[in-house]
Amino acid sequence: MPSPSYAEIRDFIVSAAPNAAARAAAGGVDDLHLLNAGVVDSLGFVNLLAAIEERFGIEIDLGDADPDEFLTVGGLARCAAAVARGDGAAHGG
Amino acid sequence: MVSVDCVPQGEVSWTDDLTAAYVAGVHDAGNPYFDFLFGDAETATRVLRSWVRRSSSEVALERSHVALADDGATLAAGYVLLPAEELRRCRSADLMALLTARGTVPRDVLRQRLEATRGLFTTAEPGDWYLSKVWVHPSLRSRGLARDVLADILGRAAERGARRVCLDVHEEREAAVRLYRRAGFTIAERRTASGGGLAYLSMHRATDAPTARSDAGQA
Repeated sequence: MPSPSYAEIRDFIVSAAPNAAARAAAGGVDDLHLLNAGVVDSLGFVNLLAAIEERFGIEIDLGDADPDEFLTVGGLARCAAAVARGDGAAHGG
Repeated sequence: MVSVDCVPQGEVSWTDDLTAAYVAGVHDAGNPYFDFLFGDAETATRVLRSWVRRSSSEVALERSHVALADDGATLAAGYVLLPAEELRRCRSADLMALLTARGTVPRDVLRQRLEATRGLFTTAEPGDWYLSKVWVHPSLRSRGLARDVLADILGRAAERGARRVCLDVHEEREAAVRLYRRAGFTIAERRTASGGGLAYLSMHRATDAPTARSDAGQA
């Protein structure tokens, strides 16, 4: 099975966090900060991580990740896509 | 004689001993929640040791208010007082730090514990300042120090334009609850967690009432 693309994962994040699109600036959701924009709270973010892992069969290890990166929609999608490709800071499940 | 002498924020020379004393105070003040969230006292202490050195943490050394004992070398008491928005940012940052720290709490376990304690603490609103991690060194308790610290807190909150001071206190800390009530705090709600047997009282107090204040240091 091919690895999910960045776009697929980003779209999943937006669908899993329904108010993300509404809170995004006109330029799109990629730079939307999930916590600062109030899309999810801290627990919601942990749940979102779990949902991504379950949906795409990966395990995201944030141990070396930068919160300023993975807390945006685009950053989190990039992080998860890298994991899915097998070249991220974590491993595919 | 023991008196409160709050050191201005950012002007404490944080030696290893003072830092360890601060971590111990914060750990005690944050329990039983901390030990439930982190799993045990040892892990909690280890995490807090790293958090106090992170500027984005609720319990960052630079964010703390502490009082020195009369010897000038012993931490007598401490607290954290933050506006609602800053508190929210700090707590989010602390959770992210926990998520990115290997060897602490596995994420699935952390998720369960966060779910179990969701809604345990009050949500401060804009204009509120939130008081947390109030502690007095065990050897200096029962001498009226906590009352002086609280007077310092309320004076500081009023100076900063706080509309209200909010806090959550573990319901079994009866002396603390009595102290807060005497200072004009009222119990707004009793909140419980579905795990860990935790029950906290949400208390608040408007800051427009006159407050007796000690001549404590200014931030």
